Amino acid sequence: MSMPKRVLIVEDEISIRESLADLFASDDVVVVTAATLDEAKAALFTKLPIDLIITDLRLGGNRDGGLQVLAAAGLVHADTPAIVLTAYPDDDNRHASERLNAAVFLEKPVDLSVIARMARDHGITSALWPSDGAAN
Amino acid sequence: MPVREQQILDAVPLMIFATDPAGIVVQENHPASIHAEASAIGRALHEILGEADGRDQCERAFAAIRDAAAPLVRWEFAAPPGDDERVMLVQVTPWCADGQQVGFVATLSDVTESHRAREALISTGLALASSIDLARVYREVGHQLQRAVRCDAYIIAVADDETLALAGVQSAGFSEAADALASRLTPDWLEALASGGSLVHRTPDGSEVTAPVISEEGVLGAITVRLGTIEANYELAETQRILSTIAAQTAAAIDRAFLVRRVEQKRRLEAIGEVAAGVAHELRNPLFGISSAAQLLRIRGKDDPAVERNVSRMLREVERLNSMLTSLLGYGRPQPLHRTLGDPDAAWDEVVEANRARIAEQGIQLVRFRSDPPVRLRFDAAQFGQVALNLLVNALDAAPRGSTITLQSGAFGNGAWRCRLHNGGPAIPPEALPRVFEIFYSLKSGGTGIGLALCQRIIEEHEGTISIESQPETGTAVTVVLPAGPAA
Repeated sequence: MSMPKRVLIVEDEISIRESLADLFASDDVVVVTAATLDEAKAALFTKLPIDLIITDLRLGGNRDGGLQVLAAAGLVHADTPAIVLTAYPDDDNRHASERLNAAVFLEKPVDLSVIARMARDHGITSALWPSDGAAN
Repeated sequence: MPVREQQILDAVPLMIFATDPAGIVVQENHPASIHAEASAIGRALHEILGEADGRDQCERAFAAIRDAAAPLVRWEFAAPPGDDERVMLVQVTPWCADGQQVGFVATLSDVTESHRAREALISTGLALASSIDLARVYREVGHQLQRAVRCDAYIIAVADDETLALAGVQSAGFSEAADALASRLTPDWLEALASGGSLVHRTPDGSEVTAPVISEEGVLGAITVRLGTIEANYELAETQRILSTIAAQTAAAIDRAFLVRRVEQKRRLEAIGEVAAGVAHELRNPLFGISSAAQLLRIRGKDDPAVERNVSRMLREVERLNSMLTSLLGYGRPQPLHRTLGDPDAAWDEVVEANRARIAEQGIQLVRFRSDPPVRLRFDAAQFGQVALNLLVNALDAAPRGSTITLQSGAFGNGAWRCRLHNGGPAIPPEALPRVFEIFYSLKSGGTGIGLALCQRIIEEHEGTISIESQPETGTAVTVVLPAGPAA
């Protein structure tokens, strides 16, 4: 059995954070969650690898907390794909996310199957794409 | 004095007094039109005038004339003191015989009318300059009309923005019903507007004087006053002059009030939009929370049809909420126009094509009459497409199964383009019609009241117009006019 994949979920809204964690929860995936920029940085700066980052843009009162998560990830996990979720999809945020190497920029509410498919493309299973490879 | 000269002097509508060098009246006339209580002969001029500080005023006038400092002296005073409504004019000139000054000639005339008119013109100007509220403008004009032109009836008529029909907005003194009065006076109003000048129309009740209310923005309306007691043509001419001045002041005031109203309206809508957009953004988070939870529930409970059914309902409602939020955001955070040269009929083609399935499903026949040749104008095709889509969806919602929807477009000579989408559905109630473009006003169950408000905003940003008409016999039609747009 291969090493479990590690997914970092950065989201200040508890329902969303827990749903996303639920989506990936399995023996094959370790989900690390963060509700604030500081928690996210702490998770990023451990020596452990991270295989996928899913981050909100606004973290509490921090309007570009998500951009700072991307910037920090770029320093220590430059090759890790990142998915940006936001309720504020303006052009500035989109361009900034692209410059910080976000793989995709998704507008809330997002269909979970979109996130699950992207995760699968990076070898990460989920409730929607379990290990047998078939869509659920 | 010879009788003939005396008769001539008595016919003049002023009082004339001749005095000795000390100011004691030695001769007077007896104007037929003025009631004098007693003869003035032997009394001092200032006593006759009845002015509060008449003695000083007379002394100064006599001195100025005696010293040849002035050929004549005139002054006005309110008479008698305390009577606030009479204004008298005194004029004093030297009385000479054989090259020698033997006394003074004084005339006393009632100038209340022209004094009032002058005062009213000034105060109308002042009042209107500070009135930004239309109702106040109309009230103020009505008030000043009665003072300035001594009319016994007046009406201020204003053209409706949409239909251009003239209707009274403020009137007094006419005995006819508003509708009857408006239809009787409309020919005068139109004539005054056509000529740009005032006109007089004699009726059994008096002369009706009408002046057009025209501003730089265009035709606004007209004012008519009825004068029951006009005797002289010069007075009629004076009334026309005063009325024209008031009409011009009215036009400027109406323009300003309209401008203020438009700016206020725009600010209000921007504020609503800003709040709406802020709320809409914030609601997307909980909405995502709900939809994610529902999706997970679907995965975990996929063997239970009841779960699947209910999850589907939840997700359908989430989708509905989300599309409301999207249109709220579209309304609240307007995108700047990206105008390109194109054919607005082509934008309609795309919208119609995208809705083919629904049109067919409702058994609706969509009949198109296109502008020929096609029009080219500078507009935002994407945003206009949003307008076309909203209008078509509304028409499809309203149109009965198997009915016809007509889409007609055509060009104007000035490069503008017009389209009219008509459906034969039930009429919009007349009281609701003026409100259909208001944000959050909806007649459809489950409607958000954003669609038409957004349409109006987009069309107005193009400096075009959008209007709606609805009648039980004919159904409902929305007309959009797009101007040619700025040069590239």
